[in-house]
Amino acid sequence: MSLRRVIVTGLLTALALVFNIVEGTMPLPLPGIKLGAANVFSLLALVLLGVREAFAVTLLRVCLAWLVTGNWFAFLCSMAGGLLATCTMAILHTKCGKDFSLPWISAAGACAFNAGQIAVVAYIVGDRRILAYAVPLFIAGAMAGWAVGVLASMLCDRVGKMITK
Amino acid sequence: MKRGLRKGDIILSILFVILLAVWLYMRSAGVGSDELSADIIQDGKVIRSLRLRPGMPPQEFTIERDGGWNKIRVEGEKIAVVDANCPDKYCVRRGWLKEPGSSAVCAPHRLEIRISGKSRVDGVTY
Repeated sequence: MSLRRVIVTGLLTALALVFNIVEGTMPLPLPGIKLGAANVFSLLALVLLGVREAFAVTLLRVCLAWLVTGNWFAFLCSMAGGLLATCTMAILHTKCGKDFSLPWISAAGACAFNAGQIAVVAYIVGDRRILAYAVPLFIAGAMAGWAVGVLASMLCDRVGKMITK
Repeated sequence: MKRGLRKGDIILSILFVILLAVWLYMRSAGVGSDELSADIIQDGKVIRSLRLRPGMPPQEFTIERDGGWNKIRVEGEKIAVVDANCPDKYCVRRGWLKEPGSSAVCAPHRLEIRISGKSRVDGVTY
């Protein structure tokens, strides 16, 4: 890993953490539904650097957000969701990158995040019927994820060359 | 980077449209019940069940578990968590629950409030 990669990974993680915390202070339309703007930086890491860096940005961001907020429940949800989402996006991007554009990779990742999140909630509470809430969650996740993906692809075009060179 | 919709994008968007249709169907099938009740579930077990009828006097009670508490209020046909000492307060922000199948979850206290009731679709007899 070159020094440049380490620095850029750290930079993206820091930005993701800031977005994560700012977003946490905003009101939610429905429980568990938010824009997920922090994912922009995981996507940037995936496209510009690689799979390892994408995992690093996501996992570090989730752990650091836990240290800042101290909310273990949100940590468990984000951890399960983040792992699933990064796996999904990494597979889609590396294996079928020709067939998917970034907004849709991001939408799929958002749904994977929601799936992990709702599975953790259902497990903790011990009621499987909660899983039905996954359907509206997936729809909101797809829309938010798509918007985040558009943002990420715009950022890739603008700053991508500066970062990777 | 290549622009425009690609093969996979179209497949995904079709999937989402199907999902949206499922959700709209679920919503329309769930609305319009005649007898509602609210289950209060903790650790996966129903610890309390309440009838929700219009015109009932409002009542408030508190559910406690290992120092964590949720204050629940029932008013006629609706129920809500009005206060709690959990870190995120998702359960409070959820607001009033009215429709069958909707639920408020407080995962830190392993608590769930769920409205169940016969939907009109299930209740039709010939």
